[in-house]
Amino acid sequence: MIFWNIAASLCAAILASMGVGGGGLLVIYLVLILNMDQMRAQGINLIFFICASLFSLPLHWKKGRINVKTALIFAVTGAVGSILGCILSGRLDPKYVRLCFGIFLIFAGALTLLKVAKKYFGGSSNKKAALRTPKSS
Amino acid sequence: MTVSNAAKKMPAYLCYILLGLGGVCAGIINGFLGSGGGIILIFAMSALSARIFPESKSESEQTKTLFATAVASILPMSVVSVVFYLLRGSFAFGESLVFLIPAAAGGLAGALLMEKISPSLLRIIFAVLMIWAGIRMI
Repeated sequence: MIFWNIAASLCAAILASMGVGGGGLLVIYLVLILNMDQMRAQGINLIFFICASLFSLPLHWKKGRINVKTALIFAVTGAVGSILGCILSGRLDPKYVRLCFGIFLIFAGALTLLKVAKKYFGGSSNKKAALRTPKSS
Repeated sequence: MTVSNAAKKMPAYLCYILLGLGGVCAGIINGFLGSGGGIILIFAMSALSARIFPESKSESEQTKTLFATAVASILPMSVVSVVFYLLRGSFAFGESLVFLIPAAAGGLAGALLMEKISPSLLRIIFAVLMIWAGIRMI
């Protein structure tokens, strides 16, 4: 079991540090494979992400991949949002939090597929649509 | 296309307000679901990418900046959230230790790998996994 724990968190961390939503992957593993409580899995995922990002950020920073101004806006407003989200998750029955998590996963998965599909198959039609648009509009 | 044109004409303060709203939403999701704030930040940034990134940046550079900036922004949100989760006893620090060491190694490896591979294929695989897991959870 410990082998799978390590393998799952290693894969999730690689994805998370590339920004491909690896955080969700660890929650999926903890909840669906280990049958862990939803809130416990979410808490472990949070501390897991802190650790993974602390080790990936120095390199991202060195390569100049971080847009500081945008990150600062997100950090301040996001911290306020996090407090609201934590209060909400503390008040709601964990089974509803799990339901919301499932709905969010389906939504995020569909959105990601759509975006990748648009990037690879919709590029040319987008350009045509832009050319067709009259200048006056 | 139209979104980025609108973003270019937008006054700076409006751009900041929209980014701020995106940040609040991402924070709420981060605190509520313990993950998932990243995707909201990425959508907010791509909608406003014409304002955020200088035009000289290539598309692949922009994509890397997008993802790395999301990682940097989620860190403070996760720190705030984890304090709440620890204080109310949702999990114990001790039981998370087994996940933290691989997290450190994976975090480092991911940042290095970003140079070498395009995350598009990974994103497709992960999206399918998310939909499957989501269906099993509801």
